[in-house]
Amino acid sequence: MQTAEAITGPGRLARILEQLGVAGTLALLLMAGVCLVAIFAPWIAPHDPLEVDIANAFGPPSATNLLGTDTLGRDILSRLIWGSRTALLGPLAIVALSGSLAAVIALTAAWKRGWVDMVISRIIDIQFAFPAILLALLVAAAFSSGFWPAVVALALASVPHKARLLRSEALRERAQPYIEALEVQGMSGPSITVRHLFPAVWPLFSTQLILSFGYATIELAAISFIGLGIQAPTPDWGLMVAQGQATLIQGEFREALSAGICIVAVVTAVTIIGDRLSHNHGRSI
Amino acid sequence: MLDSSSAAPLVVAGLRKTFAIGGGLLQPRREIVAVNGVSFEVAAGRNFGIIGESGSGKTTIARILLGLESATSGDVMFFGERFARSRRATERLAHARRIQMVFQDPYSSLDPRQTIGDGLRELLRLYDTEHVDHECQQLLDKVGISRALAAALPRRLSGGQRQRVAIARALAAKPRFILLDEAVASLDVSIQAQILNMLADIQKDSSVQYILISHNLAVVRQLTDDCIVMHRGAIVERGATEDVLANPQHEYTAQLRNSIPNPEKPLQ
Amino acid sequence: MLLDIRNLVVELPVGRELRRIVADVSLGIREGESLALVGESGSGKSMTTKAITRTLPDGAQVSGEVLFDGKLVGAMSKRELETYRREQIGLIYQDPRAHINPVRRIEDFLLEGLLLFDRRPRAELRRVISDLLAEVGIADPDRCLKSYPHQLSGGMLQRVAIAAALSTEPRLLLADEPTTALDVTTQAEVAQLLKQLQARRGLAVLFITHDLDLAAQICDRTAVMYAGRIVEMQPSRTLYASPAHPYTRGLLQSRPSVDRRYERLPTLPGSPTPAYEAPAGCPFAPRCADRMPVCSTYVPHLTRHGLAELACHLGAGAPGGN
Repeated sequence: MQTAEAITGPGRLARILEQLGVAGTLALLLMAGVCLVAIFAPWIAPHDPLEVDIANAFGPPSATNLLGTDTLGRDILSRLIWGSRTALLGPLAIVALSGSLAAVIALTAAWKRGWVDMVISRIIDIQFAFPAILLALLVAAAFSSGFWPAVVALALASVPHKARLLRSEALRERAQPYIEALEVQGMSGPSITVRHLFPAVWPLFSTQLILSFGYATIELAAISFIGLGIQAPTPDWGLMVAQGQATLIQGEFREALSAGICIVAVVTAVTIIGDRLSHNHGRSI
Repeated sequence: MLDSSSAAPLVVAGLRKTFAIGGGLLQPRREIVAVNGVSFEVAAGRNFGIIGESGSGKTTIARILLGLESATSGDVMFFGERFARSRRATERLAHARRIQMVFQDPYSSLDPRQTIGDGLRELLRLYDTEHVDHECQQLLDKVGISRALAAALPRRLSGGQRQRVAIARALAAKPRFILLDEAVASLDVSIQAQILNMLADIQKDSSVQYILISHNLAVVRQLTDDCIVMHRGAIVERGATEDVLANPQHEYTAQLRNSIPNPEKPLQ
Repeated sequence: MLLDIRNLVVELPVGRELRRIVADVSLGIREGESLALVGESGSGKSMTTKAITRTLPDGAQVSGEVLFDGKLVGAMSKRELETYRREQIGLIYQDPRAHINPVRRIEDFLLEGLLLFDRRPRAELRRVISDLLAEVGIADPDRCLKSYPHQLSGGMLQRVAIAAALSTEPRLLLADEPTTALDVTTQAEVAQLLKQLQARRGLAVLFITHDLDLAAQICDRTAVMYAGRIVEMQPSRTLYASPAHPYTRGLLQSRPSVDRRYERLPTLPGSPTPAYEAPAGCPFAPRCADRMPVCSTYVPHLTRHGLAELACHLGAGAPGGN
């Protein structure tokens, strides 16, 4: 009755691509492109992003400066290319940090249940009351401005949301009979949580992490915009929007616009990918 | 110190379990008695049946025996040693070797993301089995699961096949007892017979004893030597299965017996 | 013939392929007659029921005919179908809790359907359903009407479901494993209730079950399904006493008994096959101890032998095999 082919099914990559659809695949390609740009920035960028040339400020697009130059005469295109590094690294660090913390907190609460869960849930709720930006402001004010303080602050601020979602999913899975069967088999709590509970909630959780990458991008750009995140002269899309914004009134739009488009493109791509992959849930096993 | 070789394999004495519900500002706290002072003994080498319908307390007793719940009062003794539910990993592992369970629902008792073989090997490693692959193969052969199925995910298996896997997993711990909680109730008639035969075969070359919880009197008759009949948390009848079912003394047992559809006796 | 099914075939789309679930079913139920449809997993009994009510899943391919009172169910207009499902057929499911809205009272549940098309005033309808509840054996109908589903036991809820099915005065009752999820003692009561109602109201009943004993006890005739086909159809009493088809015999023999303990239960080898996995010829042949070469080549069709209908190359009165 069972044949080998009936048991294994089509390849994993094929299935993921099918699920992404046209929009999702394009989004994935875009993100792959951005990654490549970030990795090979030193070789791709036509100019040094920090090279100042005041005489050439606000230069129009030309053969040497494809997108023109900014207020200090720096090549906009090169700054965009180099800016992709913090654009990817920042949100990635935020997602990784907050994801790990949320996972530990949520899984502990879901496994232990009882009063442990109650205490953790209340702490999550309290932290929820603090808007992310506000927390980042506090951290910046208390410590210093800069890339890593901003990342840590934003990571901490987004833990409650992830933890809450993961906790309810984990609680639901924990109530399944097979988990109890493993307890009867004598497997320890941590073992069951890591080897069975976590893989069960990973599909939903990973999708949420992908979506939160988009949020993290915007929040990090916003923090940099108000001057608390990445500091000048580091090329960063959020900073470029801030700097470019000041000169919009003079009709110099290229810096702000191009950086803004990059941010929107990345956030949209990531959100599309996350959304498409989330349609998997609800499919019965 | 009791000589455990002469102690009965399982003694349950005065087992009582109550649940408290309600108890808010406006509602008084109520107590539900799920198991009301139950005592019984499982003799060596004999299979034991717990007959009852929903609300009889049979599931609660099972959960207490497995260590999934604590009794409110009373004693449970395995081979002369008093058993108390513990959260400590070493204790739980030790208890796993005393008693294992096969659930009623074959469709939710296996991790859907793990292949049959991987799941079984994980268990065997948990019990520090030597030659894990060999043991895994032996167990699967014993329950009639092919190599191809061992590489499959649970969703590819039928209900009957999953129950065979569940039995293999229960055997992995080499337990003294296997608790079958309505374990054949969800199966097709023709498959049920195969599983019952298989369970009998397994006992031929191992000393495992079955505790069968069921409301199906025919299955209880086929598999058990002694039994108790439970109704609303209490034992209403007990004895050798043959006697209890052939000659029910208690009204409830008789009612159960008469509820079995009998085409010879037409309904009005 | 109230319900007449002729050569029904049902195929369901799964992934990219079409799977045959019902291979060839023909049966008929007269007014006031009860027929049990017995089968294991994959036999196609549930899909047959769905074909009768035309509630098959999207993409299902159906061929053959289902006639109710002479009218083709497949050709009914939307309005005709609505009337048919509501007034001609009463449905009882295995799990009443899944089919009753948990946040409304029983009274609302029972009146809901009626109010849509019955012009009588609400007060009168309320009396009607109260009488119905009494008829199905509920001791305190008024209290039941005021209750919510979670306050009633499984047995009581199934009685409510039966009352709901009867409220529209159907001519055919379709009961899909109505007692399987109930306690043993309740099963017997509900089974008896169905039989009483059938006699009292002259209902035709199609009773789906996996339990041969129950079928024999409740229904006049029993049809045994295997791999999407009817392999045997007889008056229940004679089927039980002298089953003609090797599959039916095997099923009856493999049951444990409360009266004795078997050294080893006689079993049918292998497992029940759905239609789409059946080999050429008789679908039961691979598991049949009495198979002949012709069984693996030609599919036996349901043929009449006196009161019985049998689909087997061995013919009626074949020597018992295992």
